[in-house]
Amino acid sequence: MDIEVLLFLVVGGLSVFAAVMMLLDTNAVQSALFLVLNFACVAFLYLMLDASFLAMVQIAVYAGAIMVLFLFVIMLLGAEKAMGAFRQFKWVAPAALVLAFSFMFAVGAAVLQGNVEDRELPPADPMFRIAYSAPEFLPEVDVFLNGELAFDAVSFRDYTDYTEVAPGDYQVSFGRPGGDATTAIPAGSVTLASDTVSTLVVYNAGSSAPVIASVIEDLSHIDGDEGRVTVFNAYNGVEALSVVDPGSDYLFADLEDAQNAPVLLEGLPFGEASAVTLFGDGDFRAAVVPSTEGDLDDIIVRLRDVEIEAETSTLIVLTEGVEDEGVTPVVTNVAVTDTAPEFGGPEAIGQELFVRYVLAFEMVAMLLLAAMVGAIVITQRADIKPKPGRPTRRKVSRPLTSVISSQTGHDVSEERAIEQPEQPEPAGD
Amino acid sequence: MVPIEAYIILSTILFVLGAMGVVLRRNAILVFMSVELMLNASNLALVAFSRQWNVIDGQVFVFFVITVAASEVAVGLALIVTIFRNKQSINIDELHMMEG
Repeated sequence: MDIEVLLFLVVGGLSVFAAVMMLLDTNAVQSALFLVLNFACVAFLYLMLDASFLAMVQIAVYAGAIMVLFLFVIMLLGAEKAMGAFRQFKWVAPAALVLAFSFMFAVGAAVLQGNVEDRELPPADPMFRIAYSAPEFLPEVDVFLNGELAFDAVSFRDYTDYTEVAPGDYQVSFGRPGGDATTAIPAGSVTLASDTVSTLVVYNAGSSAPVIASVIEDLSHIDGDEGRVTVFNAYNGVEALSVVDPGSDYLFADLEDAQNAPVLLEGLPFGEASAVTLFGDGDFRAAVVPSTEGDLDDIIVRLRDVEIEAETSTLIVLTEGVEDEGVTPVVTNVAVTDTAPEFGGPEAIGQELFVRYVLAFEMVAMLLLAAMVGAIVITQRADIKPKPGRPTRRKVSRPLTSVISSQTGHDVSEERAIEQPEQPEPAGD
Repeated sequence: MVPIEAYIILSTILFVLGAMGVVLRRNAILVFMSVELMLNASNLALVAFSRQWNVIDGQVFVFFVITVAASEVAVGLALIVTIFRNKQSINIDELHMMEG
């Protein structure tokens, strides 16, 4: 039998046992302790259901704070002995049992017949962003989608935030900043499918008109100190690019040949994105070479300023820069995105709480405040009055200096008065 | 992997046990504890559905339910203490304050 099923049966059975014992026990303190056991079992089930944060909250708040309050009140009132613990009405127990079993039967039938497992959520809208790497076209562009402005003033080597659109085919065109859609130059169409996150890389391909390529990104959670790296080749100078790791002294390396260098990516053709690769966090020690056969003199560019952060997705676009004195530099456009936090972890819950549910969160905070005030008001006795007693006389205590002088035997009040610095008079009100 | 049906059935059993506690027990504190059990059972179903569809909203709802349960306990136990002070009993069969 699968270990997970076995654990579920054991822990689930224990939780049902604890609930039954809580019901049947005549001692209220023991009932409360069985309820704590039940809460602990449910917290374990939360862990099995990928809800690690809620499991801890369950232990701390439910099994800890709330149950301690219960035990405190039970012992305060002396209510642990429950003589005749059950209701006296003879018909209540059988009626409750019949209703309970019919409810369980109804829910069980609904769950088993309803094919809960086969249901699927409606697909999410696609998200996309623009990484602009076409310097021969314009240094800064407005991006139009089907003639409507999507992003304005995206500059070279820059990338935008993600936007959500309805799935479908889109005509993408680019215009000068401030211009309108009619003057924009079309760059082809892209298909944005549901449930995808993509980056539209805009680059030059020979002519000055921009070309657009869609790179699907994977923003799911990464376990561990790694980051995803995708390299897009928009460098028109050579047939294909390779990325090698030239070693630890990669900044100034003058190695004999590149064949000994570990190859990170090989033979990436122009206008295509590499497969997504996981790298450990830290500096991305990499150099771009035209082929892994040549030597390191051929290095096109060293990726010096690229750092891989843990749990991020990094897209590196290699582009030709603007030609200057006959030399075409290679420039990078590095787009870094945080990947999704771990499902059920505190980060994921916190993001939801403070972004989408912030209003509900504040209302619940107000509810807690109201409950606190309510508990105080309810338990406060209306008829409480101060006890009539003897009128007490206020004692006038001796000044501190006279106490010190009586104990030490010499007068300190004079010295203190001399040593105190003169305080400036406060100017007016 | 445990199917979601198993979690929902377990949640139903715990919920029904809690409901029976509310109906059958006479000690007001036990009734309150049974209400907590019912809330907890519904939380389990929410977390199970949240895992099933990989949507975090269910867990956020559980967070809110726990908060509401905490405030409910605070007010409820204050009520019980006040009732005990007036009646010297928390047996809910002996409380007929609303019968007119």
